[in-house]
Amino acid sequence: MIEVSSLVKYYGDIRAVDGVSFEVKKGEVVGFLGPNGAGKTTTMQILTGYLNPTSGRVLIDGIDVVEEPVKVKERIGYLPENTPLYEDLTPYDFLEFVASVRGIGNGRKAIKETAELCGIMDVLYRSIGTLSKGYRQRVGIAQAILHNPKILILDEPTTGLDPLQIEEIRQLIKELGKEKTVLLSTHILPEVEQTCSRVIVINNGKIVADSAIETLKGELSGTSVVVEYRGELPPESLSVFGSVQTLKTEDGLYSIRITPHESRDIREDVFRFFKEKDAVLLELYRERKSLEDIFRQLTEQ
Amino acid sequence: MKIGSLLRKELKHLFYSPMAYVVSGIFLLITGWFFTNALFFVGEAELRGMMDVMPLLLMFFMPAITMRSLAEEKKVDTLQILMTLPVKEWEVILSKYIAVVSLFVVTLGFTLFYVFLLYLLGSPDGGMLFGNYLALFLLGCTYISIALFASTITSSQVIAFITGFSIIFVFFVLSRLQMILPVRVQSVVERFSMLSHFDSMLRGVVSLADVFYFICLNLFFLMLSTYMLVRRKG
Ligand SMILES: Nc1ncnc2c1ncn2[C@@H]1O[C@H](COP(=O)(O)OP(=O)(O)O)[C@@H](O)[C@H]1O
Ligand SMILES: [Mg+2]
Repeated sequence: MIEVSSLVKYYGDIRAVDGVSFEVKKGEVVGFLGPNGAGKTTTMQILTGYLNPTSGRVLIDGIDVVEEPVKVKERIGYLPENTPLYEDLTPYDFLEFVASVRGIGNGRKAIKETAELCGIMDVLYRSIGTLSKGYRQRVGIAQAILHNPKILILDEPTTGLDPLQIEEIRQLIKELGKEKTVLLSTHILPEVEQTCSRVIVINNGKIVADSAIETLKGELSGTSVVVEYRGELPPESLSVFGSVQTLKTEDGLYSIRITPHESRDIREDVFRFFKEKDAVLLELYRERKSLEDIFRQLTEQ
Repeated sequence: MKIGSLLRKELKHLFYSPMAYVVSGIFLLITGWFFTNALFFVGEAELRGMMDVMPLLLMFFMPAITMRSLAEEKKVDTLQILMTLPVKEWEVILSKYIAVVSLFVVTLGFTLFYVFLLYLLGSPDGGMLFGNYLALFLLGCTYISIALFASTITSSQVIAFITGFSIIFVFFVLSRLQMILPVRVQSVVERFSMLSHFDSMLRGVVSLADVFYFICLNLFFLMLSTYMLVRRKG
């Protein structure tokens, strides 16, 4: 659905996007993750035909976005960052405008259905300038999905909302993701974990990771094991498995982390060790890194 | 028709904003003053007084009602919404141009009241009046196309206004400076000066060359505006 190859974008001397390639298949919900200034917005603006790339190619549904921008724009729904809207229009007027430019046959019906789905029925005739951030975001999404596009591109759809609004918008995106191909950008990790099946991590204009969320966690999560036990056993005796770090000791209760020297699963060996020594093993688990850690690790390189 | 949908949106923006009413109101006040001034104090029932100040008056008013067109869309970033709809750059420019021209025409329409008065008070030269209004219309449209171009190069309405005004002013001054220029340059400047074409139309002589001149100028600035919008994509 979306094929991006060797995308480069310069703003003057600034290289905002630096050789980005990725693919989004039909029906996928992909998170585009990166810190501020990473190049997410620029990339999305190129995908939607708002900007031309300095070099590289974007195919949307097989159509080159530079060669046939209008055709591409027909197929995409786009929510720009910070949801710019026409403040002096009402959501209805605004959606009616979008419907008529997009040539939607029964505009009135489409507007009503979309407004219901996005939950903006009761503000439809109020001036957009007077709406709360949450409602604005819904109007922005309504505008993007009005023509029932196959592809949705959402630039930081939950930034600036309060927790309740964030949850509502995420729910809406999940709902939309069931039948659409979605690319959504964010600099917040839980967002990706909650709504996306795959994540593309971008930093300094370059892609630093691209995989299913579980794979990414697996790939980067270390093989460290955390052991909690009671007894006389000194923590140093566990150094046969790798380097040992004491996390906590109190009243003969030890909590230690073992990081094996070579990457392998040492849980079985550790369990046998304790059984042999007849020590009381209270807890034994492989340490899972949070996406947070992974992200930091990726973007620090 | 996409132009029609775009145009309706532009008209809504224009007519929802107080700016349009304020500017048009002031315009009518000033032209009204010049008209009645000539009528009561000079004792002339004619539009000449009004027509003489028009080029100068429009120099302020046209940029004022046009400056918002693209500068504002850039400033609040709605340009991202607009330009990711399946529309072409020229359609956007043309719709914005037609919208402002419509506002101008409506305003100009109100001044027909003066013409009505002229007919009550005497028997004005119909051909002359037609020439006057055609000249006004063409001059106003040209100013609008220039101001629209000025609006494409910035995200600040103030800068758009100043730039639009300045370009029009250069055209204006050019024709007034004619006399002090060398004779050879004079004729060239005259050919390119808006005012000499405007003045000859005011005299009631509507030549195709004059009309053609204004149309070309409009097309030129509309194309330049479209080019600016295309160039923005990088
Ligand atoms: N219009 C612009 N002109 C100049 N530089 C820009 C412009 N837009 C973005 N940049 C720069 O390009 C880089 C990428 O920005 P952006 O794509 O907005 O990143 P993100 O959306 O990930 O925060 C940043 O360094 C930013 O300062
Ligand atoms: Mg961004």
